[in-house]
Amino acid sequence: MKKFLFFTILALVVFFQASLAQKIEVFSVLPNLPLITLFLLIFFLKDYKKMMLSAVFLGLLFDFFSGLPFGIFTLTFVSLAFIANMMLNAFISRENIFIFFAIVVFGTIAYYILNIIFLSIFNFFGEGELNIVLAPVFLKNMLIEVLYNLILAFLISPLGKFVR
Amino acid sequence: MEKNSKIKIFSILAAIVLLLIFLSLFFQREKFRDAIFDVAYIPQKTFFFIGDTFLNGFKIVFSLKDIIEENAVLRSKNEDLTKKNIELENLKKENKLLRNQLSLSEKSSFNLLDVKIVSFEPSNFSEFVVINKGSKDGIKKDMPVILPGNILIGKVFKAYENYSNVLLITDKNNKVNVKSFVKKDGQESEKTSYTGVLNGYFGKSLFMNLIEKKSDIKKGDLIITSGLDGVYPDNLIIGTVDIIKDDDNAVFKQAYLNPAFLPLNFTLAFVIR
Repeated sequence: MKKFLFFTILALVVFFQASLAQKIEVFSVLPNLPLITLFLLIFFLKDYKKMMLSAVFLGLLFDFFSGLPFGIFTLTFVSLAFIANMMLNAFISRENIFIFFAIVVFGTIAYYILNIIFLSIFNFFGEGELNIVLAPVFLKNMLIEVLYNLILAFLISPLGKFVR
Repeated sequence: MEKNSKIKIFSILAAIVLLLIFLSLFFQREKFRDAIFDVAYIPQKTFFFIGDTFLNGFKIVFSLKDIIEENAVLRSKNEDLTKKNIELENLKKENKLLRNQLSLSEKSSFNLLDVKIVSFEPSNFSEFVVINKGSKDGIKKDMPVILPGNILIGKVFKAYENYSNVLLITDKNNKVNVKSFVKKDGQESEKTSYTGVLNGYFGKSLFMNLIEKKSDIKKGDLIITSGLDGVYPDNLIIGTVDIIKDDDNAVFKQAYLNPAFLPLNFTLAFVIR
């Protein structure tokens, strides 16, 4: 029952992202609530298997709503979860909440980089019909998303104790 | 948990995801996708409704003074429009009568299929919406999608069985041949129409390129489809000119447009078949 509720909440986050998030865009940039949720799980959730499964679940749902080739976001979310968890365990302490905010900042940048890499791979194999154009304004959008995610992460960070 | 077992879990999950991607390339995943949209539509719509009500409530409180002024302006405009409407009705009747006399059939309108927007692109990488009808209803790739009032929003990118992905004109990958709208009567009659190629620009804006240097482009000009690209019919409304770029060294003028279809809600749209 607890697991069902947990995954229902994750699904609702993605549903929210594909609907109401449009209403809270800033400079035409959406916050990425499923990504912030993933960072929250990476930092606060102790069960590694559950965290990785959550990454797959969030990514799959994200992929279903996106017009980009299927699988891009799932691969990105799983890779992010794996890399961030490894780095957290190897070099950084989980005790400091500022580490969580650092994860949000660098994780969002990594999310952009990974997406571009995966989309390029899809394009290389002839599956991606869309190109992501790396114009300066794209980088501006990335920075706005980083800031927006950071603000939202700050607001939802108290929820970390429930995740624990 | 040990480092090795973590790598093991990651490898297994990554392999499963890659397998899913591989399978999705060769097998139909439409039914699964349809089911997800069916389930998601209800909570999404509820979220949107609550958010809309909440945000609109806020807006009303903070802009009460503006609303009162706007109301007065709209009242006077309404009176003008009522007059014009009566004139147009008379012209319509007269036109019909003349057409009958000349034995001409009525000008054919589009074959429209009404659809509803059920979800929006969750990422900032592209501009999509999902509509609630698909190949089962006769929707095919590249069919234009409009809002009431002939406002173009995009074209069908992928048609699933019960749902379709619509690539919005605000996406960088969507190109539309456009022209400026010129009134046939009144003072603007001497102004000639200019053409250009339009594509989406980051931040839900539109970028119009290849505008002739000699063109008399002005802020606020209405831009419509020209029909030259073979995808979109002509005379669909795109938006209005916002910022004009006219560099001395450039061969063409460029402009940024405000799209007419924004803000977009869970709303009724039409697919042109």
